[in-house]
Amino acid sequence: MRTKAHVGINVSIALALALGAQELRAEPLRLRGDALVQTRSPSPVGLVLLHGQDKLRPWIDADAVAWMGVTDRPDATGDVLSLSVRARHAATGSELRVGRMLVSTGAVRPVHLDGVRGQVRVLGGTTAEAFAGAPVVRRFGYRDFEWAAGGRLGQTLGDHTAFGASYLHRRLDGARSDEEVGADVAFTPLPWLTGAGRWAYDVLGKGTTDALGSLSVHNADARLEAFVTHRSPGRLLPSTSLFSVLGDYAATTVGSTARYRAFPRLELIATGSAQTQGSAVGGQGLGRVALALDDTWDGSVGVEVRRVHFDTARWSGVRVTGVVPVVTRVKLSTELELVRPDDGGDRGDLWPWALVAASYAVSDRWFAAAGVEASAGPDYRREVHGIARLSYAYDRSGR
Amino acid sequence: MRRALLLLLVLVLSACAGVLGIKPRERQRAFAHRAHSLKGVACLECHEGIASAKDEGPLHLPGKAKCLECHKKPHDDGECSGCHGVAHTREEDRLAREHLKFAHAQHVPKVGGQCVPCHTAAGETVQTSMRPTMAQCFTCHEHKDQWTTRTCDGCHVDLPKELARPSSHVVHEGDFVREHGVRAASSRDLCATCHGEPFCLSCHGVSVAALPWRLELGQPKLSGLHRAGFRQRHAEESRASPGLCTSCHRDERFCADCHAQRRVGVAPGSRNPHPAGWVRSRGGEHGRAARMDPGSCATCHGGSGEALCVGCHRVGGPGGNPHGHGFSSALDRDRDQPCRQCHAP
Repeated sequence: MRTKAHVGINVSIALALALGAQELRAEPLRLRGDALVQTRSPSPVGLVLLHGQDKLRPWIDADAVAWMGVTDRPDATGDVLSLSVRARHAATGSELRVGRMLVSTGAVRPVHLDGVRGQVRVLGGTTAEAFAGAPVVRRFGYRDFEWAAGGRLGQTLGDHTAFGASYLHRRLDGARSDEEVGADVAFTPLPWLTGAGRWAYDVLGKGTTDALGSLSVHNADARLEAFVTHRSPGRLLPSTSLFSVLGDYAATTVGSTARYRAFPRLELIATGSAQTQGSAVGGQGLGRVALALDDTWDGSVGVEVRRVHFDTARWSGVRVTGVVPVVTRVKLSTELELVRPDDGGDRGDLWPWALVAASYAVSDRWFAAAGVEASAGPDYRREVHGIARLSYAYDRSGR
Repeated sequence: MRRALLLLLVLVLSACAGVLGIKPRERQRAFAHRAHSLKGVACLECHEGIASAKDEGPLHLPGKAKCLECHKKPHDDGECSGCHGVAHTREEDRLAREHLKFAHAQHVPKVGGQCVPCHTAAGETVQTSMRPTMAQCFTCHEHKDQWTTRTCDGCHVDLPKELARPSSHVVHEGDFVREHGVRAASSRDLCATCHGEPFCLSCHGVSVAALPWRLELGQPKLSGLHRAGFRQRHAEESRASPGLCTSCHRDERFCADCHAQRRVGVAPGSRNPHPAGWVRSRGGEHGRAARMDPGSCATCHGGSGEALCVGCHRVGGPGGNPHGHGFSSALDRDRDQPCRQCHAP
């Protein structure tokens, strides 16, 4: 485990970046701070986001996201989600990022990494990416002999097609915990037709980890999408886990989503899918109606109905939402949900949940919101919680 | 009967027209650029000074006084642009001034002082927008390299702030949680033109401060996987989408830590959550459950808890071979984890 000194150093770096950035003459500079206070854990929590770029040296910029808060334990804690510096070659778009970052490339799974990621572009539309480093562990944890490396080779054809192949190798305690290869494609051959697909293959488990495909047709008012997903839950676990070698039942889902703007202020969305896993066959469906209260959709009311019927997961639910602008800077909002499990057992027959909130845009930089959340669920009879947020955003992007 | 229903529908729609956003035909109509041009009025006669306009400054839209120079007897006392011109085109001009780096002074000489090569809509009878599309810019400026490398700040002041959506932008509609991954796989850089690292990390970060929606408590119209009473129904959601949780929450302790804090399931002293007959001498339900949702098993029985399984399922043990039909692995069964737990001599 890392010492408290490491924790202090990480947090200090984030704070130094946040507070001292202006003195560094980073411009454009974006700083955002959010404080969330709630009467349930974790609370209070503070989140600081910072993006800085030097106008004189546009080839370099920095990102930082850090949070600090109090957990169930009395001590304060926090984490640095991102703290990275990027050097970029503007003419080609090639870049090198060093620090803590999220590496999401191609069809292989995303990795939160302390390390380095490089991307080289060749102006024929070819892109080569590579990354390596130590996967991030929660709350400043650290594991010996854990590292990950991989990359992607991609190609674009005009602005209508992109495809690529990717690879991920990850080790835990020196043993191979993941080894994946993936392929991805996205295409927009016609202005009204879009498709995308990705496929990841587990080299160690010798099978498809995860595959998704999507094809949609759309115009300004309507969109229809057909999708298929295939996921192996055992192969998504680290290969060092005993539960990854049981030989799982993969789940395959086929479905469709439709969106239709029936009137300028009325939108309808419907989704339906069928799913199989082993001998289990089922599906789920959702319908949503949203009605705007003004032309800019600042205020709206909506109703959503959902039914899930798959193996032992069987429930119906309804959700009602509403946002009403009271005056220019003040909005009232509410969200109500009622879930009824088919077989609640000893967990109750109805699981209601409700939130009533008010938000106030104090100025262009300050924003405040507060609400009351009430619910009753499987692991408790009923709960009422208060929740409040105060945000500050500083943006000096300039022209 | 059909006529009555049709009549009823028309009446309902008429009554709800305002609520649904259906509006009477606008009083405003597009300015008749083509008609003025055919009369021999040059663009610069009305849009004075536009040819030398730089990146900043006024929009060079003519006011009433300019119209009255020719139209000596107006039929109305109001502002001419109130009817002759559509408000959204003026708003587009204002937004272009705010969000784009563009100087007419640099462009007008290069197109021989002509306006229509870029503002093609000026020559059309029906004008929806006078602002040239990006494709129009690309007819001269290939910008192929910039497009390939997503170097947009040569023209766009601040693309994320501009809230411009690429024409192929489909991932924000429908089911964002399911769709965004498949699009981002091959177009991560396209996503990155608007969304920086913090956006992705608010969900994919190993340790996030709070569920993202709790920061957006005042915006219930935003959808999301963890929205509303997700905490209450998360067990059902997990069972209904096998493997979906594990695709983000990879750490086996993720569930166990929270359950232990709330004294649910895995807390010391809590009762066995499994029903009677879960483990029988000839299998029981646990084998099927483990194949359906191995992530759930790993939540409590992962790590040192695997010893419980190994006790029965080791080679030669009473539990027999736990691997499913057709199981295959590239791991070395005598050397690699977890195989050696059962297979090592």
